[in-house]
Amino acid sequence: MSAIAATATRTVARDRAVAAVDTRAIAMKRRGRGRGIRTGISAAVIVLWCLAPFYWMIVTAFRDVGYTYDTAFWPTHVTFDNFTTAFSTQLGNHLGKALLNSLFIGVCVTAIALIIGIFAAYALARLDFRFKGILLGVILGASMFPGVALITPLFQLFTNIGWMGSYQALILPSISFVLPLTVYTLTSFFREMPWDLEEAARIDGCTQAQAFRKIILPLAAPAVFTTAILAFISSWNEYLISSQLSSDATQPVTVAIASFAGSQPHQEPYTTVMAAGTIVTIPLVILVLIFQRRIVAGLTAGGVKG
Amino acid sequence: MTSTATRRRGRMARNWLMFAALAGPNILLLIAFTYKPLLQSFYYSTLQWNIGSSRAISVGLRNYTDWLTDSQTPHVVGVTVVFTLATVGGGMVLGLSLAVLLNRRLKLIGPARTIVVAPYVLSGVAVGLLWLFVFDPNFGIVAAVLGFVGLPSPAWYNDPQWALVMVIIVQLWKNVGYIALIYLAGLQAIPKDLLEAASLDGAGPVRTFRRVILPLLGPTTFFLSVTTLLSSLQSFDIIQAMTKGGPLEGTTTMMYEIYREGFVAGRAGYSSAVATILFVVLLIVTLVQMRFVERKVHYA
Repeated sequence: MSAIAATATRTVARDRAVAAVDTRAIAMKRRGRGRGIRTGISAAVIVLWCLAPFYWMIVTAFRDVGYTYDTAFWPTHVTFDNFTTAFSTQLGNHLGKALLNSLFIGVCVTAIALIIGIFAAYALARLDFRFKGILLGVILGASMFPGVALITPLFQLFTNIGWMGSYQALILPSISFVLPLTVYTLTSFFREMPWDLEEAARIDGCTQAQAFRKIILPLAAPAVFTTAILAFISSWNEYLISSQLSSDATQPVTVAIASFAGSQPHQEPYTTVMAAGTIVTIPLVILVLIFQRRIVAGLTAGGVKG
Repeated sequence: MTSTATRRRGRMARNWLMFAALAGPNILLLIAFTYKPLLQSFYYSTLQWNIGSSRAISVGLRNYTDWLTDSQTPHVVGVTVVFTLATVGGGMVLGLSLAVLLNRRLKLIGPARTIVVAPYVLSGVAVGLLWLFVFDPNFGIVAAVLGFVGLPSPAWYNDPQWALVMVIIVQLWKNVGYIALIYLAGLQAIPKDLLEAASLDGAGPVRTFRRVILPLLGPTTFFLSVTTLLSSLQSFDIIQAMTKGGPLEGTTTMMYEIYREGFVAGRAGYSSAVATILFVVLLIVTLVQMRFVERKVHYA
């Protein structure tokens, strides 16, 4: 009796166990599908969280100034007036000039920083000598300094030599701020280069300079291009130093939009600011969309390897 | 023996010359526009001096003692600590979660990645101005959405505490994408067979994450904690565009105090002293993290 009961219990237990395994498998499959849906929903929420402010900026930029605080999610009272106001020199908004300034400063900074940075990164990646670690530290350590501490001395320096408000007063410090990032990114790319090819070229009779120019530089072109984009973005966005060292004639866009005037007196010129914001940010967003692979590669180049 | 040693020394000397020629311009620029100004700033911190004034009195360490005993200092340090911890800690947690999410095999991973990283490359000033409009307590879209759900909107930039919350949210919005991007690259560098081995050994997803993935992400976490900490302590553009340190100094971090003392109040000496203190903090943070990481992080 007890034996039968025991067997019965065991069978039931086994059945239950089998059933449990089945349910678990089903549950897991269901959970898998549930998880897929949840992943999809969370991804959608994140995309919305990232994009909604942009969307709102653009909608507001095209909205009539009388309806600044209209909270309809879709575009209403569409007009181009805000863009006209943003470019209106009569109202004291020099957005056009500021865009050209930013472009000019950005191109100069990027070009010079890259030329200087390529040589330095090559030396760091390729040459073997004592105190290399310290020199790398000197170059990268410069990125750690609070920029705000440098303004007063730079202000004094440029006042003394009569450069206050000039383009070179904005470009030269900017180059030195971009250099650590440039050298860092380029060095981490250069470390991965097939340097055997350079050796081979030298055995075939190239000088070291020729080998670098003819073999390595073409191979490094994507890396250099990536670094250029990052340097340009960083220069385009610089605000703190420019806000103190630029003049009305040389001010970049970041400084211009921070001091914007609208078409209506005594009112926060939100629609105009949003129009200006759209003009300032959209080129960068387009840059990111076109070169997203490169930018992602550039940003992650230094970050992952130890 | 001696000839090899000489040759070696000769090669070293040649390399040094090459290095000086190649990296010289770089180092000269850094000296002229970063290192020398920094040293000058240390010197200014011992002066009682207003920008543009020709009179400067040497006061030794008085600017430092003034700052340390100022009744505002504990408040400013408090704001700095809250802002930094919230943006670094929050950023790392959100960034890692986002990276884990993006690491699943999703369709449209490319566009998603681009969208997530887009805020990071935008100008802080533009981002600040945009969010200022979004957060308008009376007419902003956040207030409208909260009103739709039946909640009252916080006073945001009219209230010291909410203003701090607001700038933290915006700083996170701008930077989480970058953190996620770096973590995503770290996650994708983890060998698949390690994860399979963990799963064969019966480790569940949570355990695999805690025991395998997190330790392997150690170097990435270290890199990110240093870079985000340094950038949070020096965050300026967003605060300047949104609150100018206010209201009632509610968003005045040390960084913002340096700016306001130096360029609004014109007290260059005092401002330089606070800047020097901030510099020392940044230096200590970096050195401590480097030491800590040498012992703690295991490279695969």
